[in-house]
Amino acid sequence: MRAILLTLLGLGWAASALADGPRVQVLSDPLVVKECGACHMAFQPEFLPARSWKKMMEPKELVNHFGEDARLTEAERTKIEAYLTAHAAGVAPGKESAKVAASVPAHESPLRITETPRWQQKHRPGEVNPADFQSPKVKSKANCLACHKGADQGLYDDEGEGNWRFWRR
Amino acid sequence: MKKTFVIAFVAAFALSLAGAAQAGNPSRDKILSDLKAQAGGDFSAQRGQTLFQSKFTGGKEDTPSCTSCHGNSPQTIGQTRAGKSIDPMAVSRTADRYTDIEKVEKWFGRNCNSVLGRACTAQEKGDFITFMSQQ
Ligand code: HEC
Ligand code: HEC
Ligand code: HEC
Repeated sequence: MRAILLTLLGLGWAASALADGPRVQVLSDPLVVKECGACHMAFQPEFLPARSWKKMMEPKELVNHFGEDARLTEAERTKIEAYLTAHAAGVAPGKESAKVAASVPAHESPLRITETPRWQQKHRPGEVNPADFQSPKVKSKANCLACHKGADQGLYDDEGEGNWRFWRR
Repeated sequence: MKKTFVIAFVAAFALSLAGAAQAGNPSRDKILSDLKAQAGGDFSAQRGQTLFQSKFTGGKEDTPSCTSCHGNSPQTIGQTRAGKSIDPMAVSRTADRYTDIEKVEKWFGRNCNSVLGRACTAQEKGDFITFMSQQ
């Protein structure tokens, strides 16, 4: 009887955690995960506006992608661009998507998530010690997974094992 | 009757295992033989090692060498500039290396351009895979 009760309690907890859901939509397209996840975590498209993804996915940009050649076949390129723009900031549902979209001035197409005002505000000195971005465990601002253990599952909030403070202990 | 069958089966299985260990992977062999047809000559593991370890100046400034990302030895885990780990390049450590022609062509295309500032030749690709297959 006690075991049953405990199980029920456990299920209830799991269900409420799930109901909370990821704050950011999980990137589930296998082609995008594979091709845009080879050198770094595949970033969720809602962190940049569609015009940024369009620019990044131009062939002449892809061969010099942040100092590296990330070229794709034309078929892959068009499919990935379509996915990214269809799930971009302001297009994907949810709070983070809307906040990113609102933060980027309309005439700008930043290629870095880490240069959007929304990202910078969430990672301002005081929230994050700027020196931590250079620490050997992190290496780069773009290494989201170093601090957000659930980043590839769309989990960036302050709870559970995704918690930055938990990680630092 | 039944016994001979079992023996024959076991023998065939053992043979197939030995064959696999020797001949390597059929997809990788196919990739190498296609490259050989293009290159004309034989491949050299020694030249493959030189390509892997040399520093170049013709490519992008952050990536002077294959070892910039793949680590100093084919046996070690590498790391991209964004901090993601890369499985070792040696076939003995990562069994499915150089078995998918599209993957192989995609990454030679990108990485030779990033490091050397040009495409690699069939000779260079064959040398590289030959070296890594013996590691
Ligand atoms: C060949 C390796 C490689 C591939 C493949 C690749 N990237 Fe990148 N990407 C990089 C590097 C290197 C950086 C810079 C990382 C840094 O500054 O730490 C980067 C940075 C980024 C950034 C900016 C991160 C920031 O600082 O906010 C975005 C966005 C991005 N990539 C998207 C993509 C997308 C979309 C794809 C798939 C079409 C892709 N990448 C495929 C290597 C790659
Ligand atoms: C050096 C560690 C570090 C890195 C690297 C990092 N973050 Fe963060 N991030 C934090 C901290 C600390 C916070 C604020 C505290 C919190 O909410 O967990 C935060 C907050 C956030 C939030 C807001 C969460 C909320 O619930 O309000 C988002 C979204 C986010 N980060 C996304 C990213 C993305 C995307 C990347 C990679 C491009 C990234 N972070 C890289 C440490 C980091
Ligand atoms: C900027 C980082 C970087 C550099 C420099 C680099 N590589 Fe790579 N390489 C990668 C990544 C990332 C992958 C894909 C991940 C994987 O296969 O584990 C890869 C994969 C490969 C593959 C495909 C392997 C397979 O499994 O089929 C080959 C071949 C390759 N690299 C050759 C080279 C050669 C040759 C050089 C030097 C001329 C080089 N690389 C330099 C990052 C790099």
